[in-house]
Amino acid sequence: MSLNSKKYSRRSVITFLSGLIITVCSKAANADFKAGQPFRDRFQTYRQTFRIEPDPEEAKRIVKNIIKGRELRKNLISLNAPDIAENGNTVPISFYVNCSMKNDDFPKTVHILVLDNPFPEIAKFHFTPYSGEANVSIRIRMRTSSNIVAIAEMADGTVGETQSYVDVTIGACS
Amino acid sequence: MAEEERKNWRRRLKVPKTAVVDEIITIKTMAEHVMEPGVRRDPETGVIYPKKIIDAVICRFNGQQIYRSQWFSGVSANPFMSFKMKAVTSGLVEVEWIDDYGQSTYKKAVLVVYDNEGKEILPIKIDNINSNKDIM
Repeated sequence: MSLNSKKYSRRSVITFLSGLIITVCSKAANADFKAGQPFRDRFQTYRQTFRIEPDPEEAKRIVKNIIKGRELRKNLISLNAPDIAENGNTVPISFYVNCSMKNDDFPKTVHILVLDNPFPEIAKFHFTPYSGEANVSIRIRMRTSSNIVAIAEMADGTVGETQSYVDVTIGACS
Repeated sequence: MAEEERKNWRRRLKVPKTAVVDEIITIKTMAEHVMEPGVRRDPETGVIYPKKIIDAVICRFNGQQIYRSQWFSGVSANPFMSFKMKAVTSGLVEVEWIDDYGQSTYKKAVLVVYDNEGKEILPIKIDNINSNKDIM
């Protein structure tokens, strides 16, 4: 009841609190900006605009979440990557899923991950029976020499995985 | 600056013009794009270049989606991708690139498919050609 009395009216309390919050926030933001902190745009929440260090635990967790403890099918997916890549900015890789693209025997999604990158996920590919063969080639970025993992999730729920090690001489900045 | 911006919009698509039925054809795509990962800094000022990548690439055949890929920041600049498609009927192949900012660009190509006797297989079946005369 003390707030509702004439001494502290509701309006005065609200204005005082809001002014205090604004001054504190602006001072903090200015300090950050002067210290060379990155400019934060309004897409900051989902748009990555700062550098983080690679975390192998994170990559393992992502792989674990995709496989979910299912049994791995042998000789399902084959990955074709160079042994030595001179430039980490463009590493050409290609994969092939060994299956007949009929009924339930086609890969729903194929994941490609580079374990030592700060953002291990690189691409996902979604197929349908109309794409006659699951054979895709792309070019990726690699920061250091590390393992490339390709995981195929079939439409009937089975999973296959391959890994191949690539040596990178000059790493990319990602 | 204008030229650099224009570069991000240039796209290439390579589809074979003709194919035999049940043949598996390769489609090659290439987009000229910076694919800024959002972690690079300007060496002088230290300001981070904002993230700008191509998110999704979708391939449609006669309006039906047959292949889709989702990209993150690990794909290289000027991304090249090739994939396969089964030739069933002749029709229109469309490839669409969708940006981080929701801007989309697309390219299209026409594929003509012949059967083993050398006749073109049309996507629409017309049983009786004379039936059209009544409408005309």
